Amino acid sequence: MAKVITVTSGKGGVGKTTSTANLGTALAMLGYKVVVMDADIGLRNLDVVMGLENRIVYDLVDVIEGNCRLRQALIKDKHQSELYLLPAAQTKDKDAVSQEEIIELVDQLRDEADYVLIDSPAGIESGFKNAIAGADEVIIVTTPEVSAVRDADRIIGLCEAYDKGQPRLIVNRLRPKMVKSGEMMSVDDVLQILAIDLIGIIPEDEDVITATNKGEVLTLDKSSRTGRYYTDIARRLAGEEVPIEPIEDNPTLFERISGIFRGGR
Amino acid sequence: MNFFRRSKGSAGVARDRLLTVLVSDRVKLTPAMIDNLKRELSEVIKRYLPNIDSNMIDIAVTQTEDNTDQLETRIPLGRGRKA
Repeated sequence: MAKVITVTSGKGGVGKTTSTANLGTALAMLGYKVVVMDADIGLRNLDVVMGLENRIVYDLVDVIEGNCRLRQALIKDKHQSELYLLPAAQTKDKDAVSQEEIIELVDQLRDEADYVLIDSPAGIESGFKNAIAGADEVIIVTTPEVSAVRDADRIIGLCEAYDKGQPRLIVNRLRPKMVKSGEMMSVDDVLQILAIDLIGIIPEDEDVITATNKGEVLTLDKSSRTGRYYTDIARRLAGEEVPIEPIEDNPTLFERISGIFRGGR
Repeated sequence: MNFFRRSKGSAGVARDRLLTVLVSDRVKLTPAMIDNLKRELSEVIKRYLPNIDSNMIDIAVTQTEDNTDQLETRIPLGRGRKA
């Protein structure tokens, strides 16, 4: 029986899809069977981020409408044999599915994997509600900016209202240098304001853009520091005790050396 | 280069602004409503404690240690023993 985790944020553009793709990949690399599901109907993107856009035949709405069986719609990842994508429909809108239908679909997915990660649409409307309806746990992605943190606060309130328990937080796109000079809120600032548990910190990293350009997921690159941070979050999701260390601006000497041994840079 | 601004840091400004805006978001109490509450409250208090300086009354939504929101009111009574 899979654990179902929804990745959401409230505000758009903070890194939900990137985080879903990287966490899905990281969990698969740890040996788990994973399905990543794109719940952003009408604005799907998880397929392009993972480089699987050319392999889509059926989508989530096709499964719900009975046009195909669930397994026919699951797209196998290019790199990880135990990672599958269930794409969203692109030509329909969010009202094409009901909350009950999504819950039923998610329950079907539970038999197919160890982890089901759901990439939620931005906003607090029906698309978001559908995305968290079947979740056992919610992960909120935010950046250390006023707009993203404000929206995250709203989402936390809604998660409580929908009895989803307390979500855990990823602080994304942190710039340690700016934090040091007092020009960016620190992780502690954000945690103090939102009052929820942290599951990981991801630094701002240009490599995310180049990886996305190519449809590769950064975590596949074992020399990537950001990839290792995602792997640490995946371990925490799987229940491992992995301490969260503060992010330094430049890789330490040790990290650079271990990077060389991992065959990167 | 404006050194004063730099040393102050926009992160602190962001934090303060967020704390204020989240109060209105969470408790649905706007700054204007807090002002009204403060005025009405000081009118009532003045009926019982006429010597109070209403400018000194402070009302704010704050967070307790276990992260619940609370309405905190501070009404300084001065040095007392005047009556």
